Amino acid sequence: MQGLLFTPAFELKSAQMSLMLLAVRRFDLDQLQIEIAQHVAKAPALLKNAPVVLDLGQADPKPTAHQVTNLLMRTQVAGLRVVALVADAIGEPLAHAVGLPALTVGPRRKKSDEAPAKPTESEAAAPTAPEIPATADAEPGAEASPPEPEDAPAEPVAVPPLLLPGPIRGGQQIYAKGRDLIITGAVSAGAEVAADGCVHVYGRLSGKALAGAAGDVRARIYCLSFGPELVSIAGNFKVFESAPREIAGKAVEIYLNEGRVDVRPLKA
Amino acid sequence: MGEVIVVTSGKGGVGKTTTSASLACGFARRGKKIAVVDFDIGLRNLDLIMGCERRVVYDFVNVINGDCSLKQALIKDKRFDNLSVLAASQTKDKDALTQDGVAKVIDELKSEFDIVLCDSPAGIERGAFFAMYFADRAVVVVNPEVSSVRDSDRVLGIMSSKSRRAEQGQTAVKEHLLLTRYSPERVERGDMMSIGDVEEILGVKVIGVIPESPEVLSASNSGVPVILDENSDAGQAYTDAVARLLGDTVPMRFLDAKKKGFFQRLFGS
Repeated sequence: MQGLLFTPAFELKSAQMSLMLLAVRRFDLDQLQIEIAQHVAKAPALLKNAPVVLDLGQADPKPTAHQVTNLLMRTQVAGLRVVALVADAIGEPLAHAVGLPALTVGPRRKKSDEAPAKPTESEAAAPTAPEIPATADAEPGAEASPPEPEDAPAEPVAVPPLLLPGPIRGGQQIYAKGRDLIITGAVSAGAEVAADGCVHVYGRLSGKALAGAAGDVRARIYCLSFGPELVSIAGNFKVFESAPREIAGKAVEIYLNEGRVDVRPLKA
Repeated sequence: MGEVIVVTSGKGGVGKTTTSASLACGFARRGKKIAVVDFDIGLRNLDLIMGCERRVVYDFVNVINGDCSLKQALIKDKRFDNLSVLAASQTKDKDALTQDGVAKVIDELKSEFDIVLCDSPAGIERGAFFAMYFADRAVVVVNPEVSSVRDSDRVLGIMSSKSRRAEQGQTAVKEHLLLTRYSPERVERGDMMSIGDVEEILGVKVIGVIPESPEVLSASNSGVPVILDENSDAGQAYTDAVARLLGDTVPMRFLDAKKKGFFQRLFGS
């Protein structure tokens, strides 16, 4: 009887989360607390009480467990929540000692997250120069002059998207490294457009579109007319032999929903 | 300086050479001094369609190799004084084309003629690449069916990124679509892509629509380009296309399915 009515009280699901790394360079408790507090104050909406993973791999000098406990407290006061430590040779035993989980960071993720995860020394950071996209057939828009970096401000400046006029034709490959990709035109069947950020297609999407190519699960794809061969977000892809009738030719948003690629129409 | 126009498609058998021959005669009839060059090295056909195959002595590759002068290799058309044909080589293969060699021939032709029409081979390899590399304008020949449209898309992409104009950062190659083997009846029945479908997928305007017509084959076989057959729909459609390429505004013809007569409807056809 009970067996029939039994529904489990919980489900164990796999999920991917995007977390920031707090990569400590100089282990100076007072200085860290001050700098973190200053950094959080600059973007409270984004950072206040944000969960972060503590990376002590580069920390100098190497802290003791007692010092790490102290840092956890000070970080919380300064406005960030350390939820785990990076599971490397230094972090693993320390995580054990302070009672926090140790998380393995994929090599690719770690690299791509290094930029936003340096709250301890942000002032010196200059905006990274935009890179020329690598493409198979140097695409028509390649000569479009890369946006000039503005006079190095202290505030982090958004990386300008790679903006290309369409159509992107069959056989062409476009990759917007470290930024969004905007195509003002169609993407033909047999073409591939990819970005580390979001992909926007202001036209018909008939080829392949890949957002979050470096692993960002928050990246999304937008197009005015849906009909792709394949869409992928952070490596999770979906192949369409033919577009489902409800969304074929519609303006849609493609996003990652609990690890699965989902398509929903944009409201007119 | 003359203008270089490439006739290309990607896919084979869609009517590039038929189109090149007809456009060449059409431009000549409009008084343009024109040279038409066959880039299909090893599979030369243009001379047959133009009806000058017996007079080919020297060819494109001979000129590139310096075996003869350009003047010696150009074959004057018997119908139009202002039309010359540069035949492809039947014995060599496409590797005989070199960028410098082709550039030299094209530049010499440009200084001599108003229009240099390049008849591209199928595919996207060496011959096709050189045919489109120097182009100022492109006439992309498309059949209203999916594989032809896809190949044309690829060719348009290569042209917009790898042509000399693209490499030197000049204004892009001007693109035109020419729809051939179009059958209004089959479009009406829904078995063939319409002009609108093709224009939408490729994002390029159609400059002419050549209806499917039996006269095309007989014209090719007799070495008289179909544009010279004033009674055929296809010939008239090519005449219109030439006019549009020269900047005239001409309404599209032959787009509607022929209405069947009373007896045809009774007895079928």
